Amino acid sequence: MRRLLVAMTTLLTLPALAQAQEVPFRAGGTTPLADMASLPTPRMDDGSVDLWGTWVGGGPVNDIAAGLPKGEELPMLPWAKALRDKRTNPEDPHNFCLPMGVPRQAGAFPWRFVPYPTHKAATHLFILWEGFRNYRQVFMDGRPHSEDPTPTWFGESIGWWEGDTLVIDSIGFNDKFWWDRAGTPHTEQLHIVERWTRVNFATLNLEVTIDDPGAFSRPFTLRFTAKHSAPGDELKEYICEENNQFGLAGGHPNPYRASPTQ
Amino acid sequence: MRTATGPEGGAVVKNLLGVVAALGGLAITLGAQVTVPVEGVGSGAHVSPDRLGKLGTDWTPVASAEVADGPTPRLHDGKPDLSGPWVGGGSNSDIERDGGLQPGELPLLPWARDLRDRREEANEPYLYCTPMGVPRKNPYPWRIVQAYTAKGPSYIFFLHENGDAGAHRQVFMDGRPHPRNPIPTWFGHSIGHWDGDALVIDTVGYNDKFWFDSMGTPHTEQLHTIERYSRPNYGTLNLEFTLEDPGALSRPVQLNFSARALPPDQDLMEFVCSENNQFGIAGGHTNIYLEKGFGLEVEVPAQK
Repeated sequence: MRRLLVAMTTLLTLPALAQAQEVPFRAGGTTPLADMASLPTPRMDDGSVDLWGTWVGGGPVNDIAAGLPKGEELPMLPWAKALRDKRTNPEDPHNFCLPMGVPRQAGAFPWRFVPYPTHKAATHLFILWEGFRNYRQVFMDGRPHSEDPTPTWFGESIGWWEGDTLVIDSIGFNDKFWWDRAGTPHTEQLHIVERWTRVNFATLNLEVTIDDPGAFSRPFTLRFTAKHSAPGDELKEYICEENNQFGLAGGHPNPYRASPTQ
Repeated sequence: MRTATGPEGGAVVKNLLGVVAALGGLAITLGAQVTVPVEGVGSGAHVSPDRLGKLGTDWTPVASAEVADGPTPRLHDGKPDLSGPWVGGGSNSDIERDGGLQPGELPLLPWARDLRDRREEANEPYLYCTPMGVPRKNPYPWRIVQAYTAKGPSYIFFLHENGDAGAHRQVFMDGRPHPRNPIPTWFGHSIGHWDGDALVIDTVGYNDKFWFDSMGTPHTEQLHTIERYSRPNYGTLNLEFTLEDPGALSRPVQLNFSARALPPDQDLMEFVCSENNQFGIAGGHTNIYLEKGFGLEVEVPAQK
């Protein structure tokens, strides 16, 4: 039942569901997974969209290009393409329990939106992931970006609502995380705008615009979809640093040990 | 941006945190330590002598007295807003003293006292980027996030700025019971409810891998904790903490902790323990858990 992590290189694209049969759903009934898409988008008392749910997916896993329209290619600058071709999967920083950054973190394991306080009055929005037990913080209180943010793995995020769409604008990323297992790189010039729309109970669409003049010749937009997990599924505890057989505990060479992550 | 405690500005604080935070519990237990709670610090968040009379810990500011004395903030449904951010409010170097007991008052069974005395601070699991567990608190900020759906309170999450690999703790507020046989985890299985203005959290299903403090006070998988949080004013979060562990304690015991609110404009910062952790992983220090994993080093004697 429990998803034990044996080897970081065998990431699941979807976690095994905790239970196969119908289970009582917190909303007050038994709702099979398949029928949840036919339910309307839930709303709070004030009419704002309720983003609460156990979400799976909504980001890249193997290759960020999967989010492009058919026929389009990533407009990588030559150095970026060369680096991507050179990188190998065992060097992926997340193998060493480092964050996957944005938008990849949403790709593989369940996660949640947690606004504080209640939705319409939210000053902060936290995004909690089961994987690596990271969380991301989005400031919803109207503050602007800071002048010169210290580069971080998850960047500095400000958010607001445009009708029923949650918009998250982020800068201040470091260049340390990989966008996918292929190793697509980015620079500290990265600017990401996410637009999240819950189109029905079980479906959360993401339209994410990437603008990084350091690594790409032009901005581009990707689309991913998150699905609601099985009724009754919860975020479980996942401690990467414990018994990580790849890298830390397994004695595999850690390329980041002696120097900052490239 | 948190105000630097040194003469330089914010960027230095972030870098300082990155290195100092990795030393975490070890740094604050070395050297001269003030053991009496001082104004603006609260329990479980010690300071060095040159910070006496100043607000906050060595690294985290707290709200001024005027702000702290203000009324308890409340959420849309009238419940106390426990958000914080907070500093302190748990065990740090010595759960017995931090929790308000006299030396020797913590009713440890002989094997547990013996193990505590043998453990070394340098081997505290949290230094290797594992969770702090409960009720450990290092001197860095943390938050309580009260989540609601359209149907009312659903979950409460504890978010820590650092010390536990970004881990968050999850409390179910929807009235569900504990599972019969929970899989042991670092934070256990927590269910909570409101008792007037007090938040009560009942937790079982802990593993035996974290230490209660940097000294090494142990526990077993029989650990059962009851936390009772109350916020009498803006600046104070009190915790009445019932510790029950028939495997390690001869009887349940009541501890008391108190956290202090940060200034209202402060937020949690990013901290990634696994990056550049100079203690242990990246620094080449001997990681005793590499081979044997985490968990009690001894067999727990069978209880009568």
